[in-house]
Amino acid sequence: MKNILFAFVVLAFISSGCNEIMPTIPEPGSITSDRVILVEEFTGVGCQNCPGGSAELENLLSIYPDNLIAVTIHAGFFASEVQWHPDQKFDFRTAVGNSLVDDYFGGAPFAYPSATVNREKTQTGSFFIPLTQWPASISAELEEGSNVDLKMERTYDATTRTLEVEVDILAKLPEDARISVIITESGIIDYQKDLNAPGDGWIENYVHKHILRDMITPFDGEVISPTGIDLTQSVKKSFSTVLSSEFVAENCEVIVFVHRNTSDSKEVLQAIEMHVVE
Amino acid sequence: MKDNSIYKLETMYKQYKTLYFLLFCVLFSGALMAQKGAKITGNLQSNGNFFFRDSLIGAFNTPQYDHQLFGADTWLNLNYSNWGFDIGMRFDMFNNSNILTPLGSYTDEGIGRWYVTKKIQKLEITGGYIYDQIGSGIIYRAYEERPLLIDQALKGVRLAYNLTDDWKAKVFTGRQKRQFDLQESVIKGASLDGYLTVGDSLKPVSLAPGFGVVNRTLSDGQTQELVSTLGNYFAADRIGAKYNTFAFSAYNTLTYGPFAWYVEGAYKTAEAIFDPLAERTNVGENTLGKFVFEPGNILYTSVSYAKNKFAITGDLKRTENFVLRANPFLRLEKLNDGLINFLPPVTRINTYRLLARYNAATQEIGEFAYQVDARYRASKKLSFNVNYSDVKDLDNEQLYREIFTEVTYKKKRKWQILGGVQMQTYNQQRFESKPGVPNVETITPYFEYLYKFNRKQSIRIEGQYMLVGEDGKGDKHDYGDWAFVLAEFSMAPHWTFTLSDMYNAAPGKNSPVDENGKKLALNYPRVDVFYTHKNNRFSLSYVKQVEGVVCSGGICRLEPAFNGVRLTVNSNF
Repeated sequence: MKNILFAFVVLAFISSGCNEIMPTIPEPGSITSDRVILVEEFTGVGCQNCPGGSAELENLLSIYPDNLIAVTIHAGFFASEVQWHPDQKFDFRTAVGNSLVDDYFGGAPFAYPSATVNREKTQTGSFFIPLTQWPASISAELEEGSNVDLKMERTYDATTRTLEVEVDILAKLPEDARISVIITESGIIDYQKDLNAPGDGWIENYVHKHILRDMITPFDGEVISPTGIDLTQSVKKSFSTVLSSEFVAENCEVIVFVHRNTSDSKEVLQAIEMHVVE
Repeated sequence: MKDNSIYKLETMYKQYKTLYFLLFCVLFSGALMAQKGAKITGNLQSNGNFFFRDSLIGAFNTPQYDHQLFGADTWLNLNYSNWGFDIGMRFDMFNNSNILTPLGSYTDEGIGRWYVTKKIQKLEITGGYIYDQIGSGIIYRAYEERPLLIDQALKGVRLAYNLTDDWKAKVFTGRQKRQFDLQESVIKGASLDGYLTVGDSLKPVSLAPGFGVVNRTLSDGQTQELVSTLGNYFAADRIGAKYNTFAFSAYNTLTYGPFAWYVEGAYKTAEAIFDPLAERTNVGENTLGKFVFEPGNILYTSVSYAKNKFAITGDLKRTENFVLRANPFLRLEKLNDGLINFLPPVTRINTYRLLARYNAATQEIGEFAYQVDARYRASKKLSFNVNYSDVKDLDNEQLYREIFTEVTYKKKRKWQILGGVQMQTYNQQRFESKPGVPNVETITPYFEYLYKFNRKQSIRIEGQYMLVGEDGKGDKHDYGDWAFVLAEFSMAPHWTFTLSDMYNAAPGKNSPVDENGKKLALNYPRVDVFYTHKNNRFSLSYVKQVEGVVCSGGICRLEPAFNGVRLTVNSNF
């Protein structure tokens, strides 16, 4: 009798599994949203797992071409050396990148590749999200939508290398809201360590993309209005910078985003991106 | 939004109510200690590390080396038994500890475990944090490996029932512990274990058969995360997902005279598992690593024969897609996190420093492994041990191979010497995820000499030299050749002094270099002092340790270099 009872428990186990309704896997890019998400990927030339993260980021950019902006920041452990490879040409580290990691996000991530997704904190209080959770975090942010209308115009003078940026914000924002302006560059060819690279584990002609090159604003942003703004009229902000001669302007993007800046939240509310050169 | 102060009080209450309850139980029971049968036992394990930065060997760029300078881990365990109850709790503390994540820092403290067990006739009820396993652990093992901060206790309930004197059934359900939190998924399982004898009553064949089943159900949040990830896979890689996975296992130990045979077969239903070697389709170049929807299976067997002066053991294991985790993403994020099961290693567990430098961690996705271990005692003085182990993946790629020999000679009780040679082939690319490195080939002769001055005082000397192979460019594999010497002087029953040095005799490709790029032949010394007094044991060590794979109980991980002072205290009461 007791053996029959135990067999019944086991059978109940097995049969319950047959009744499962499997979750539906959505088609890529099936979410429509008015929100543009900022993904800040943390990487390093010496990070062998990071090319996998960059590939995933490119997949996501292809799936959400109008809703996703990528910034790749070389900072933390795998960017701690000036040269990871003796023939490496570029040092992708920047002072603002280091400040973001050390002074804004509370220290470098423990695992690479990591990224912030709209600078939302995870359940553990960290800004850094492991690669596996990027798609879910992006989906959640897209589904939330945005109440911030952000427009940008830019002009670039190739002779003086001066970039002028005009931003128009229409939103109801608290007094802590800030605006940040980032310059990124893509198409830079240099060495990169890669777990799956043949030979000695280095890719000589790796194409580095979305590299954080500079910020026109301070690393923690610029206050939009000390009293906050409402929906009755838009706020205009202007920025100007001279592009470093080390950057290829044709490969650069200017990224503007509006974000919170309290001790509890640094959430990016809306973002916009344009090529520096039209 | 709740009022903040009320919320804090609620959180504190939730956090400490178990502690208050157990403290009450312990204090109450303490008052009743005079009662016959009451028993309190416990133990303390405490480790402290002072970190000394040494950028040359790679002991730097972590919070401990940069600014924290000290880290500690402590486990204080207390058990009380009375009236058929077993009650226990454990206080865990981690202060700037590096054992959770070797490159990170972890600080937290609290009740790491509590449990209550009561036996009511044939039924045993256990609630709280439970350590347990089914069979050899292939489908379920809730266990602890402190050196790697693996603590996979199940927080839940277990009912065990003695059907007869020889047959026992148990069922359990709960969630897996993750430091001071819990994994979101729910685990439930059942097993039936028996014992019977057949044949001649004077020389019977004994059997210990068993059967087990385990189910893991992902939470809605975990499933949503998985669905979002799979939803971004392109058409060529698209797979489904399931909330549930089931693993079944049947096992038996047959014993007949000097012969013993353990066999276990397990099957796991299909679910999305992460395969680091599967090719992922991207918009750009394809990469390796993606989720695949596959069932899993394992066959594990171990045969041994021991009679008179001869003993032989053979183990064999074939594993295919047997990834069983509390969260499918954990295989990607932290290799040893969220393991519901334990895959027994089928390689020799070495203890000498250089012989244990390269270890074969078990491969969940696929491996075919076997080993043979033979021992022969020619006389009271002379004995021999030979071991051969081989691990390949299911595509026949060599992952690990070891040939081990040992000869021991004992001269009465005065002295003993043993020595031998170990040869290894170690797939460093696979085991340590190091790109572009060849298999490490080693030949390591070694010896140990033990001399007893008298009943209390003895000296033990070890020596090993690891010769490492070269790659096509003439560079020695990994760190190159190593020499290791150790001298240990014991003054029983209190003191032990150990002095050792690991010397990078012929530096290899990964050895540290000076500012001119010249490879350095560095020493990695270690000094230990152990003091034991009754139930207390103290140790103070200076350790300079090279990066390497550290295994504990068959579970391995890559540990960075260490330089500093270690203090440990172990106490039983």
